[in-house]
Amino acid sequence: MTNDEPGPMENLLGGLDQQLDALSSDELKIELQGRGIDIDAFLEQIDAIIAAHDKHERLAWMRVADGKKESLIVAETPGTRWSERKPEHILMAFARFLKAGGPERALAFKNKGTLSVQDMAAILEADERLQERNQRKST
Amino acid sequence: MNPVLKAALAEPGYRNTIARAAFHADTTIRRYIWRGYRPRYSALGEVMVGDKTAKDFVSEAVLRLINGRRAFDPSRALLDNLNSITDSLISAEKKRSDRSGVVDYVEEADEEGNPSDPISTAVAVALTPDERLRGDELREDQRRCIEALVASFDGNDEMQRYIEALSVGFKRAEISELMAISGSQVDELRRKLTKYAPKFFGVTNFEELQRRLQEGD
Repeated sequence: MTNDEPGPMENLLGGLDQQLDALSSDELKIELQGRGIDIDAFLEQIDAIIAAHDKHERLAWMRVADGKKESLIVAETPGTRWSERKPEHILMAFARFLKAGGPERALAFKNKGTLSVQDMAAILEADERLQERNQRKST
Repeated sequence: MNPVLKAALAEPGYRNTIARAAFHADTTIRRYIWRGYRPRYSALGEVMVGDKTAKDFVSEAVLRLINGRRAFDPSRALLDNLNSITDSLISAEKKRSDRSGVVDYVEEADEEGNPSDPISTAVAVALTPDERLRGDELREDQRRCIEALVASFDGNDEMQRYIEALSVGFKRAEISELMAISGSQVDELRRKLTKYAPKFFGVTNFEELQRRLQEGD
């Protein structure tokens, strides 16, 4: 027998564990009690863990909606320079900017390589200045 | 959450699965006792590794499965998934508790975030003489405990054969075949043996078992 092989007492304990299928719920509860384990209290604890996770999952859509709402508010708030906003807002706004420009704009920026957040902020500010100028011309 | 896991946790029998997982985790800790591990016990008498009980390991396993830190294997039953995680958590916790205080190497974590150290995970070429001697003593202790258990059922040939079959690692179906008895008779032997359990669960060596047997504890 090598050092890793289980000894006879280990085998005996493992064998009793493998035969748990034969026990009724009450018998299992009694055996657990014999080992100091209060299974009813423990099951309540596990129920609570699962219920908390289920609730977290159920409310996930609300967190997504809140995030989108916040990004829209930021995008629509005038007066703040893009370079002064949070990086995640710049990233979201830049993604919208690319989408709005269609495949040509997306390809143009793809060919440009990786842009930093500061680059994106500068592009967004330039785009806003251009749009404001166009609006003034048309009015 | 994995949809198969979600379905398994929604089944009415899931509470029984959790209870069996707790039993398995407790057994895993108790098996370490026979490898020389000296555990602590909670106020309720639960065996512990470090400051964690079998329940703590099962709770952690459930959490890891539902938050995705451990992948749920849909080809295996929920119990097998839980047992696999608790085995690994208990092993990691035991290694941590074996190291008392001073650690003179850089601590690392495995892919699941469990602490892994280069000493305990190193593949040894051979056991040191001390380790071999200690291992031999522990196995001898186990062998003497089985002999004492068998002797304590003197006159009950069926139970003695059952204990011997368990001690060499036979499973229920194999024991049934070996002893030419039905599965339900094997289960009945298990029931009788576990009623006797306080005599050998939690004992840490042969002398302690012998004392309990003599005291009729």
